[in-house]
Amino acid sequence: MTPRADAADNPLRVGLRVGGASEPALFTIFGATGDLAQRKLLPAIYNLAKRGLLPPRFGVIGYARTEMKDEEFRRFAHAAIEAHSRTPVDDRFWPAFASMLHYHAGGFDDNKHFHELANTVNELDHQIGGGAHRVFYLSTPSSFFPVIVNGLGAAKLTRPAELVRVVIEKPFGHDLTSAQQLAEIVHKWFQERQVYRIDHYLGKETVQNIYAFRFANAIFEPIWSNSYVDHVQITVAESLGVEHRAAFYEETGVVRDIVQNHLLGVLALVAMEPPAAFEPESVRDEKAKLLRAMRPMTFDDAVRGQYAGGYVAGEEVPAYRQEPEVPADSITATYIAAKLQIDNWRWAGTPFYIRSGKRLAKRVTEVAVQFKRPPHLPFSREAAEHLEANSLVLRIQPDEGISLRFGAKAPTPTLSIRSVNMDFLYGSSFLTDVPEAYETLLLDAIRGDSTLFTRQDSIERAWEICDPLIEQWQTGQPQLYSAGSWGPDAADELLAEDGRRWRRP
Amino acid sequence: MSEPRVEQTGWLELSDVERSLAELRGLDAQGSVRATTLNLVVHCGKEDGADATERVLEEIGGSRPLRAIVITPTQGAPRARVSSTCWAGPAHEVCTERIAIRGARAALPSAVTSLLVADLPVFVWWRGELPPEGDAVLGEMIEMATRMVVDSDEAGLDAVARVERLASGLADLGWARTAAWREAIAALFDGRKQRRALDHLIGIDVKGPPSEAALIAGWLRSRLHRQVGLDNTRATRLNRVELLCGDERFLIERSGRYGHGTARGPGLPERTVSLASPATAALLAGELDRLGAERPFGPALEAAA
Repeated sequence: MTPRADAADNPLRVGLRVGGASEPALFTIFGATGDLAQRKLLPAIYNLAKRGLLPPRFGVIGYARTEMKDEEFRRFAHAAIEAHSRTPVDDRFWPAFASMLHYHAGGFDDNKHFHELANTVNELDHQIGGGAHRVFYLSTPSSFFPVIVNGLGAAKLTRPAELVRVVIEKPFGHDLTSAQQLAEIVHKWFQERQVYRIDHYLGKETVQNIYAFRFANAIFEPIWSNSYVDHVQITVAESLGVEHRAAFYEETGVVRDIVQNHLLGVLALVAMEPPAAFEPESVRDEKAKLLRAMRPMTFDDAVRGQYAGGYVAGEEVPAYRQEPEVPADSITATYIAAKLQIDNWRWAGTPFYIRSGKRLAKRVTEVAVQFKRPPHLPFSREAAEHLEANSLVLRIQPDEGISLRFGAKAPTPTLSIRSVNMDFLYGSSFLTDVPEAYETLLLDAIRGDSTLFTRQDSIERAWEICDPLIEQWQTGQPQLYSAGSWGPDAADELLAEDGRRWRRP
Repeated sequence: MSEPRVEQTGWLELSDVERSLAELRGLDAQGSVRATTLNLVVHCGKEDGADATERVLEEIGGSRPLRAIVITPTQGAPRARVSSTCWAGPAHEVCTERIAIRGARAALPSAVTSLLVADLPVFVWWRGELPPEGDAVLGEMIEMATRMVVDSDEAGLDAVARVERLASGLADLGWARTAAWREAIAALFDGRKQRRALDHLIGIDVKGPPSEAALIAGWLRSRLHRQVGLDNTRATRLNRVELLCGDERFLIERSGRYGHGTARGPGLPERTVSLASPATAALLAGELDRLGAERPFGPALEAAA
């Protein structure tokens, strides 16, 4: 039995201001030589260490098939961090950091590898004083998740539940059935509270600011409902195409890639009820309730698009079907516009329009809350003809910030009211380095805070919302849109039918 | 961060300060953003203190857009010099405003009051030694402050304890300097075996500034609710803390110059720990982010003084 860590009962820890993790921990990365580990995980761990946020007793175990000694892994990590970290490698700090890095070579196909890993973990645990929390990060293709989880279970690395956590990268299945099957395997060895499903989008500072904006300000919440909000538009636009991910994207498409996870995650933050406390279960209960109130997407309320050739930011780009490894007759959707409806007291009758696509005019993610028009304008028609309804835009990337549009008198001899924007730019009030989303999420996983991670019931409900549309889109043709545009004309018609139009981000 | 752009005026009447600041803002060619988040009033006992304060404010940079009012007691009616410093942000420049005021000591609090940005927190950083009990200027500054900031390494623990009784949420930069050491000490006793040793803590041996040593001892006394002896070897910064727990000894020691050290004790492997010695600007910036004192500070100060 691994000894319990008792840092929480340590009288000297009361009132310490350090925001990092304090209890000892071992962080194992499966797929430690892969792309994600090099680009995100190792740099994030390095920056956490540099910021003094890792526990004093901490170790990293890289796990992959490649044979390597600890020293070689440290050199590998140094190169990865040098290439991808947001801060440069500090040679004076490096030796202390490198001493935390260890490597264990092994495959995923034989339980003996996991028993060997268990020996390594126990040995390192002993070296750092015992009682370490154990975080297993599955940074591998999802097809390996079941075999890794079973291997951890067979090697008894999944207990005690209060000390062990497993972090799983998306995709969490490719539909409801596969998500449930994956969960069944995971739950065979791990309790739900041990499972941290990571969506890096939800770790972004500006996404987290939605919590602060909604629940730390009394002035917005009273008007945050169907009484005052006409509709909401959520845009997740990319200017890039599928790049080198064509094979993956052919299997995935925009709904599985963006909508089922990032987009519904952001929508839940915007529309959920205030949680009683900013604690994991309170927050995740409210998100799950919101998703349960959302109607599944239907063919009639959605537009499917695929990019044709065109120009993006002045550069000529090929059509999706001309990208390498994409079949010439592919019907994969690279664009979606849809109308979502939430059947609860707060939002009934207020549609949420979403759109997401590749090769759009520019890269932007934003939430635009469009308010209703005033019930009566006491001005002449000429005075207010340029006045638009109030809107509040939460810009998640780039130019992170918040804009409020309202009417103001133009400085003209006759009364003329125009719409003006009041902008808050994140970079204007906080000119500090913003941590990468992975730093936030890894630190949370190390200290056992699951607030920003997705619970299984929300995953399943998100698939229930998306599956009908995915099924219906297995046949038929997507509408083509020019690369560099804002999507197919049918997307404009979707809103025009309701007497509305898309914002131009 | 890139080099800031600084605009400065000559010495002015107080009544001209706001207009001059507006003019300085008007000099911004591309339209900068004035997003003030707090007032920082700095009391400098000596004129050379004002120069050191300027350097600290430069280092805080645009990370905390603020209006800084630096007051230095001299003679005569208060006069002010204003400056605006702008840093290039991602989309716009971020600017902070500085007002340096010199004049008769008694007149300074009212000069400050007239120049505070409305409805924002007021941090008063009293540099150097604190005046004797009953000092009217200090009283007025405490009255206007949302939070007082002092430095027990400069002012002494007894004086800080006196102010702490009057100023709620007092911040002490000397206490802040011990933060990494307190974290490292606490981490030594996370395990059960080590926790049992903590029950037998009888004394500590500290190499470092006397007031910081006393604060660490006070912290341990107040957290553990018992007497803990202190042996102190004077040094300019904390270098070593040894805890005597019955027959067992736990040690944290700085190694080299790079903000790290080692921690060891019975049943524990030797570990590298972060023992950063933040510059004054970083310590101050950390305190400006908070409106209240760290919970253990008051009891630790009481037990230390």
